[in-house]
Amino acid sequence: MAAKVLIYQCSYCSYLTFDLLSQYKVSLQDNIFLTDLPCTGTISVNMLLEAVENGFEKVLVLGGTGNDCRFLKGSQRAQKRVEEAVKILREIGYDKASIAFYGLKPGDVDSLKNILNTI
Amino acid sequence: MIVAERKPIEEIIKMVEKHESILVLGCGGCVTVCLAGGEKEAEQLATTLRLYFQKENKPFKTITTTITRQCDPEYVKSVAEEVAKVDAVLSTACGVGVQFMAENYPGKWVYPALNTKFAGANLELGVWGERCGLCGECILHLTGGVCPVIRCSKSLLNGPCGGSQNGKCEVSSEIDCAWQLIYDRLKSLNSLDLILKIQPPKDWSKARDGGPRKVVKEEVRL
Amino acid sequence: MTKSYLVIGAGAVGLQIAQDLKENGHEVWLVEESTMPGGKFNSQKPLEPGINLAYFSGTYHPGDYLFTSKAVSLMASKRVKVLYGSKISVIKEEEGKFYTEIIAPKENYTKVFDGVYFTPGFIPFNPEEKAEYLYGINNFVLTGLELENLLKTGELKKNPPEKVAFIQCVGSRNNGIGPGKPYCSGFCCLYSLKEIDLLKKVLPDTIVKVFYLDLRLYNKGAEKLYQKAVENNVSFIRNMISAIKEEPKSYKPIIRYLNNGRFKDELFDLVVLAQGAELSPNIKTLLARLNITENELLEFYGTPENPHQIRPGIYFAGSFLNPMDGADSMVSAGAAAFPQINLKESVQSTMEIKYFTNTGIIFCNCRGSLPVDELKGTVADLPSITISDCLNEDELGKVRSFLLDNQIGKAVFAGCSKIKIMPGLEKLAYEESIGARFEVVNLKEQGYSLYGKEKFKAIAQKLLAGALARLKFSTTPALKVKNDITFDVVIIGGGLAGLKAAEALTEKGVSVTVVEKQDSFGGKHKNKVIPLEGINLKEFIEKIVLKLENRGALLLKNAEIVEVSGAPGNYQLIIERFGKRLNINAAAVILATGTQNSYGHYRKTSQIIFQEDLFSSADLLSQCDSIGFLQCAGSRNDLNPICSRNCCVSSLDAAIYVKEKFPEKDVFIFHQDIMAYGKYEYKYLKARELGIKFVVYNRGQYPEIKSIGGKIQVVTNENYLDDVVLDLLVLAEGAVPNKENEKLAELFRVGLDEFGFLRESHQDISGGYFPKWGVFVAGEAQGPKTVREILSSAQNTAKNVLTYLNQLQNSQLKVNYSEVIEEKCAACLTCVRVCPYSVPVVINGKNVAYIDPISCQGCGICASECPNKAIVQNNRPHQGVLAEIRVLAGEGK
Repeated sequence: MAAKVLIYQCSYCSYLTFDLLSQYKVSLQDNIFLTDLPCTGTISVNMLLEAVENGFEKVLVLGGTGNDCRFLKGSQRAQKRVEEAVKILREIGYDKASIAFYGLKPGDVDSLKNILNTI
Repeated sequence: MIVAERKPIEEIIKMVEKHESILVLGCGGCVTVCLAGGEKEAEQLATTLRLYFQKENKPFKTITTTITRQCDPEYVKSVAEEVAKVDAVLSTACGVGVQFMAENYPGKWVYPALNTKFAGANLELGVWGERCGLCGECILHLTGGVCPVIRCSKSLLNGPCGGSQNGKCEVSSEIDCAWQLIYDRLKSLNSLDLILKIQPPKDWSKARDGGPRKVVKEEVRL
Repeated sequence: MTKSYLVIGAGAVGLQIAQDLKENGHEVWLVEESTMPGGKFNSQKPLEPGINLAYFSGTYHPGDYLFTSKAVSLMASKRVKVLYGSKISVIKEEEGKFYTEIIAPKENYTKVFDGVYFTPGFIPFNPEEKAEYLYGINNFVLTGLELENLLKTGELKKNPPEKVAFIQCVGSRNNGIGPGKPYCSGFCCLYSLKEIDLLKKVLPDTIVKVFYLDLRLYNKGAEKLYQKAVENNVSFIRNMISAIKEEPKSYKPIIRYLNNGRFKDELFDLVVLAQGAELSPNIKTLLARLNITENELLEFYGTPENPHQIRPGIYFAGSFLNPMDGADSMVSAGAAAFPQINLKESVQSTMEIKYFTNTGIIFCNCRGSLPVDELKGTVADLPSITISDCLNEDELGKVRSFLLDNQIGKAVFAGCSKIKIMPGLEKLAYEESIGARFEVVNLKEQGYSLYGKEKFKAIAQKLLAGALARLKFSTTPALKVKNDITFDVVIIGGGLAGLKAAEALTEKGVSVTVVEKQDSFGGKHKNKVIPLEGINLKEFIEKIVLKLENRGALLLKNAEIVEVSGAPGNYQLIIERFGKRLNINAAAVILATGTQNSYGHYRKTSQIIFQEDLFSSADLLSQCDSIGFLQCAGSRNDLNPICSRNCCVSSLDAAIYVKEKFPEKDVFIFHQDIMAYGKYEYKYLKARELGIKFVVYNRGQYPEIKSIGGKIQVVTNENYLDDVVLDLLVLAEGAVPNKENEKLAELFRVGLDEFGFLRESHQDISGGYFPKWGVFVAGEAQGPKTVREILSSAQNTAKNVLTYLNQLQNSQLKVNYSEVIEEKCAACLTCVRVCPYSVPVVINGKNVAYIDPISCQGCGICASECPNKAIVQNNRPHQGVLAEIRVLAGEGK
């Protein structure tokens, strides 16, 4: 069975981009699960690790770009937390799973497609 | 406040790997405020360890809880039930908390998850600086509120050494020369005369050179 | 006083006006011809696929769901009636009242209104009316919208064209001759560029040529698209094509155009027509019934005081008033609604909230497009209901009774995107005084459409179970009241925008302080005596200042804001003035810092001056026989990359002023693209009629200016024109962001855009709101604007502030916020430091943090950063997220 993927969207940006995706005839495999947070800045390192612990082999956090965040630095915060979680996984030698952050402008379907292609 | 930071995961893993269940015990005191060992960090550490042992295919269970302070017997005793359930305790408190837990639970291993660093202050979000050397006899009134004992790399009491350059310490350009700070401060207080006063050698017996210390406040004891 | 209004057209503008009027207690009937709201923004209308792209200026946003959400919220309100698929058959004006008959699908109504808002937008010009384009006859001639659809569906990729031509101004700028309209439709240049951008992404090797008259890329973000197009080797040809013919064998279109004085025939695989804005015939009929002729409408531009009112009780707004893009129409909507918005009495509502304990599921099959029936009862044994259409009053009524009958306090909505439905659901519950928490499972855009028919059921079941698991940990909304509000508004910047906003607010009884850094009011416009857009700005500004003084406004010159603390409703500002510090409390702050002038690489001499010099001294004109205007001297260059919007209109106004007063004088305008967008085109037409000479220079290739024998010589590159000799050359200074913006952004925690202007929450649809509560932007601080646009923006902002003040003094059912568990709080200040909007405070003497629920925006950053987990984010608590992860990761169900 394909590796399980969890994607955290930001309600204010990447959620919209996913909504748009359907108009571009993109389809997702059923190993990919989407959920959203009011701001990706609300994600904690522990939430990321818990997702891995519960069986997700890929956890993606899709926030906004640096300068257009609804909560000013929410995306940057998310990115830093992802970096910390990645560091912890490396420290404990956990290589079965990966965690990544991507920042994209709301509505940037092309970048989203590229990200989804890497899964 | 006491400032601490988490030990490298590897070191913690080595401590706890012989156990199958541990209590990760957070502390709601200083280490919460310095973002090192409150409930959030304790939970994150527990998840990290579970992930590691999951990878190693070893049975490993965690309980996570946080008490108000690990340096008060009443709080420490309140987790007796949880402690009984596990093989060992991993404390995210400072060295005081770890010891106090160990004292109160004689049959259990209590491990330190943190390195206790210093008594310091929050300089900005996520940055802490050392401010007090816990020497037992404060002289800040003589130095304009800048402590030469802890902020001078050499703990010099009578002015800077030759390594003071452009206000920085020769140990690192990131460290301000404490004596420069003292000078500036006394100057702004119009009290440069204080700097000329020779400090006699410090009585280090009041610091920890005199062995472990104890403070007793008689009027509250009954 | 509560009145009733009729809003005709439920597009972006109509919805916004209806919402504003409703929020302020008026009764609103919204009548829409089509079966859905959203107008041009709605990308789901079958005939107009993705038209949203065309009318949004900054981003590629799907407009439809944003407007669906507004529409659902409106329909959930009892003071609003929304009628789709409906027509107004009769409209009569009698003694200031409007008697109407409305034909709606289910029933017909007669109703008397106190006022009518016309917000029907426009219909795209039908290119068939201009037979020379061969549209409708030749399959290789498309409209922009048709191309957009081919791009989206991937059709174009199957049979990729090698050469594509874009023809601008189809149905616009017709000079009053033939089909179409004389005005510039304002948005088509930008929209063609966007389509080219999309086209180049899909088919990078396609050769693209654009035939245009002026590239009117006046929007903030447009220049970037142009640069990108140039990098992508798109050719721009300034030419009105003379004809399209067919190649006899392939039927491919051949465009004939003038090239270096000769006709050239060029074969293309596709020709794309940029349709302009046309009036709907039905609306023309309605207007006729109110004795408003088409010409009156076309030439209507309102007065500076009342830009939207054509007669008492009759208002025009949005692109119906003047062709404009999405962002501008939202501002227009707010400004049009302003006269009807009043400051309410300060009454804290004594609403009793019903809290129910049951959990339920609301399925929506979205007009039969989602197979939700196969999910029913398969996930949880909970009360559920299935509706078919969220834009149907009866169906929404079903949801209402479902909540009440089953005593539902928490519900999962399984249907479309939460952005579409969530505000409406919350509104629906609020209107019934139910404190309900909703979670949305997006089965449509992020379910059925992404996973497909086969995988749908399994995925949907999991998502639904996940949402239910998450919901267990969320708390229900609570009624919150703001206690410590003041009612003063502080306006930073005493230029045109700040003063106009102050005037508008004081008119409604709000007390206002204007803080101006310089020692006079009026900013850039304070000395302008030559009428600009029909306004003698010097007098206009003096009048406003006088009015403000009479109304008791506090006007502070030489004052600067240095510190900001507090929360929305009660900001504490420290203002420095002559070295002294002044404390002022404010419920709201308007940032109206305007722009600064950019003089490009030019310097003033006695004969070369800038527009500001000319406008402030009309005498200069009498002393010269020939006068020239050099456009873009301070814009669209290395120092200021974007169009300043105001300068072409200014030069046109000044040139017309000169020519009308002194017909004998020679007047030249040297320009790249004359930005006479929308109805400003009439100024351009008039200028040409008066004999003002327009000389084009290529982008960035400024004409050489020489001083010879007391004259100014402008070297042109046109072979039909000798060098022009002038007595006076007026350079058009540009508008660049105020240097103060950075400081203000930091002080008030708002964002800046890439150019340094203050960034609204959403460039296209926010209409002057920042995400931060209680801070607003007006005028050019947000981006360059013409004088009329500044006035409109100020009025819109005044409307926003009034709406906000009215919200502030009433208790609110607050849905998303973070709350401190006091027993766990260590007062470590982490929340205080991480909050993007400075909401948390540690109360002195109490040693715990407090988060004002009204000001909290619910992002949850504090909750996740709190080292002792002493903050709970009530809409996404950590346990809820964890519970959902476990369900999603779990095998089977």
